[in-house]
Amino acid sequence: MISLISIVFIVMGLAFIGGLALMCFTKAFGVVFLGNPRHTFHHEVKEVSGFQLAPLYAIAALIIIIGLFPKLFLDLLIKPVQLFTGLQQLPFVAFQGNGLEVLVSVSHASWYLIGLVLILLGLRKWLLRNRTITVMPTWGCGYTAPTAKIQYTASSFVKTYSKLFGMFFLIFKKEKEVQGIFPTDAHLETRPYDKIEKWLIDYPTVNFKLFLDRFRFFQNGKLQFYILYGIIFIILIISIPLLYDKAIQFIEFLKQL
Amino acid sequence: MLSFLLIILAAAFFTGIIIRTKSIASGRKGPGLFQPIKDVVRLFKKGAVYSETSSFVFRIAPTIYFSSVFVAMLVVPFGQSKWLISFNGDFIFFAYVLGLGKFFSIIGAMDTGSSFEGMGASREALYSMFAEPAFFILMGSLALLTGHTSFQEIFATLHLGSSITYALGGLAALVFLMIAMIENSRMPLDDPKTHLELTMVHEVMILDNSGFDLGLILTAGYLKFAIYGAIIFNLFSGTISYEYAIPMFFVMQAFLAFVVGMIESFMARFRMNHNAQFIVVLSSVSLLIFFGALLVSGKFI
Repeated sequence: MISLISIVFIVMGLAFIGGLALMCFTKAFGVVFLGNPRHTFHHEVKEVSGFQLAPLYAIAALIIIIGLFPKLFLDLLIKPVQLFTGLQQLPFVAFQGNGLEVLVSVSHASWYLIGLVLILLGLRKWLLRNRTITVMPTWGCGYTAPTAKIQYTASSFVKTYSKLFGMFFLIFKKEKEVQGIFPTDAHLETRPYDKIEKWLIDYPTVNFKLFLDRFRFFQNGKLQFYILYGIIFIILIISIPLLYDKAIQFIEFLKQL
Repeated sequence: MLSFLLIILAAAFFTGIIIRTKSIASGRKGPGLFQPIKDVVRLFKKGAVYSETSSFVFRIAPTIYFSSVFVAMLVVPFGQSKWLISFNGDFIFFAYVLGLGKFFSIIGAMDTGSSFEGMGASREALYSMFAEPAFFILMGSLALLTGHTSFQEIFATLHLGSSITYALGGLAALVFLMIAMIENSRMPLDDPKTHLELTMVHEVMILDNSGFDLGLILTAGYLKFAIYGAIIFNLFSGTISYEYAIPMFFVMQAFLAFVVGMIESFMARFRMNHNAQFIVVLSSVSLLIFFGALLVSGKFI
């Protein structure tokens, strides 16, 4: 019965992961890279040189290739795995089993998707080659005064979600309210912080550091003390086994009495 | 091949029936059944206007959205026959390839730099996050009932015999219908006719698209409805032979379109704050179906 309920929670958790990943990545990518610049910098903003970008592109290309040709990657991977786990009875045929054969079908389906996207993009280019394409300010339902400030920020993008799951978050708010009949300026800044991270990671880390701070007198920067620690260590290393043997002999002697 | 052609044919008149039902229920005559197709063809013939804030993301997003819906269509079987994509666990692939399309439509909307599209993007991300557990728990309970994990095998071996399984099948059809309403942004979650800021979810994401892109997005919407209609049909018809199944398929799609039109005519949209609650209620109904499946397969009590 308990295992059943836990299975249900596991399934719901796994299903939520996909949706949360969608929300997280659209928020991060959309707020940082898309739309109008939300923050004006005082220096000129330009992209770094191609040599700095090339390794990033190489890593991204490798990830995509592993996704599209998983069997190739698994064939390469089997040799080190055999070395470490001693699966000598596995021939040079790669992994078998239900889960990994699914990867092959998924990559076939991904090829269909990529092929279809390329065909449609080509069709679109061909259809639009003789038609007028104009570039105008964003229509946005006829809004006449767009600025960069009306765009969604990260906090506002997930506002509904953080209100629903508010018990897991701490929201820090810095606010200067609108005052008077002719207000001059106002601003609002919210930062969320994960409560679980605060209680499970931050608090133990801080308390552990406080405990270790009591022993900080060992590190006082004077060379003489460090040489003294070395001498004490050598004395202990030599004398403790000797003393241990002597103590064992004494106990044997006492046992004989 | 059969399911592919049938879904395309059904998509051609599904939305037309919905609009016609809504018109007749409000006392008008309404447009013809193929008016949505004529709208899409008209859009395909036009040029395009792009926003100066948007980048290449805005131009490729509708294409990727349509392709993802198309590939999802290839997964859905018809009775005993499957087509190009069918493997163990393919319903997970189905859900997430639709999620990929949603991701691109959301970032295409964020790219315009307008507050309206950002609002639609935020709401769409939230509602699809809540609708996923309902789908997965439902498919999981169907997999539990039949012991297989691929769409085609599940539907081929689903025998609705006893009264409990009929009840489960009815509930599952209801949940699928509600998920279809959520995914296509119809009532009671989103009004496709309104263009008021407070009330839009999906319509507002496509405000800036025009021409060929808008035609692709509309076609993808029609196809999604027909896909969910085909899944609901498959729930009830695993073992019927083809000469009865094909007419029944069209009858059931027309009936579903009629039901959707009726729901849209007689129900107002929920308050925006209650939408999330409603979708979580769907997950609870799926949980009920899950426990019912456990009961039927004897693993519970």
